[in-house]
Amino acid sequence: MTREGARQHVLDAIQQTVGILYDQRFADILEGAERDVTFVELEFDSLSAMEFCLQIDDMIGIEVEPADLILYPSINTLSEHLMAKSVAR
Amino acid sequence: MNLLTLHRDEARHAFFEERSSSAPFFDAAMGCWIVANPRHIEQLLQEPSLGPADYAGPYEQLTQKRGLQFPNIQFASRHLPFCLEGAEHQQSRRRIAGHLSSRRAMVIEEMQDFVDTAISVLDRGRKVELMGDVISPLVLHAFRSMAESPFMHSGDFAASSAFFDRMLGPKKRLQLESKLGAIRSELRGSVDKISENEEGVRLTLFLAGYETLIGTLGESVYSVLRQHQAAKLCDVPFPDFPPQTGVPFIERRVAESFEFAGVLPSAGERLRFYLQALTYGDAPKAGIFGFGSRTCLGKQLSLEAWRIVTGALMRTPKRFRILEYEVRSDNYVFTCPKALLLETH
Repeated sequence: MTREGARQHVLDAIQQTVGILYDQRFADILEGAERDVTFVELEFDSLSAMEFCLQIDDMIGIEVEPADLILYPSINTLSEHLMAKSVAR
Repeated sequence: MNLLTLHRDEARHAFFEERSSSAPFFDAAMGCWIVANPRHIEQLLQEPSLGPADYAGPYEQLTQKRGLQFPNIQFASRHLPFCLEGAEHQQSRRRIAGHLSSRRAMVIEEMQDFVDTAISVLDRGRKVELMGDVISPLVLHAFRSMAESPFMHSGDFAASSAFFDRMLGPKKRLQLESKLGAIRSELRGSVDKISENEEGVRLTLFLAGYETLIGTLGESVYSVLRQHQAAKLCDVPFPDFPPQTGVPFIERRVAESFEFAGVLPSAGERLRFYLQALTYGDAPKAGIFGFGSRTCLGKQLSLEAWRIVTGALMRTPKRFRILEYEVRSDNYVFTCPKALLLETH
């Protein structure tokens, strides 16, 4: 899995979690390849964190836990984590 | 500062020192209010505007969204006082208190006998792993006795405390469901004509008491021993009250918005109370077992276990050195040593 591929999976899972990106500000941030945004900024709560984990598992079969969204608190850091996990498999 | 793992991080000491007189603050990453001021902890834990934390919510979500079923976790939620309010909460506590009271004297006697035998490893070997050789087996022995079940097939009970871990992903929640099912099955198989309430009491003991007691004993023994390296165990001044806790924090949910110390927690928000903050300076140390109507029901038994373990260590005329100390890192709720390796001579 490439860095860009992992990031796209994270973005897709966010979209599935929160629906169509409801806020143009976030949409602009997320579409910029180098821009990063934290899950706190995306206003994830415990329920959306769980839904996000389910989405990632469905998409790429990698188990992510709500704790990971705190340990890897942004789109880019979580993408790096997913890359590392995919290599380790 | 990573609040996810603060409770098992050495950085916590500086954190609690800095926060000992601070107002609660909201941590966006954890999604809850953080209370680390001992006076505030004591006041707020007796605040009627606070109700139990929501442990069942993520499971209901998984059922709704994925059709996953958690009958054993639902069963536990109906019996754990931590999940209940009002009359149900009082009835649950009464049942647990009654059970503990009826078995306390026997369990204490059995713990004493067990430790008297187990502590002999200190005479035999130069290297002794206190958690694996003494403390964990002691607590398992006590809980088997309290539950009146040998529990030969349920495996690692410590995993059951994951019930309180809100950071679990779906797969681990399913594993927990399976674990609780195995424990319940053994309970029903070993206690004749067990009623639902009797089963609920025994399950509660394991979920809420097992790992927390191992953690409190292990953390407390370690915190005293580390200050007396190379002393004889019989000369170590173990205090009467465990100086640390395996329950680093507890959580409550705001039932009605209220103002406190200049902040305004809103209805539905969570508050995390760091009981570890009560182990410093002149904080009310007895508060590691909680305050008010939700005080830990296992307090007296925990104090007895502490007295028994430290009493046995204080009868051992051997010098010791700590070779290894490691805390479990597989959950984000309790502080529980995995290993406490001593060299004795």
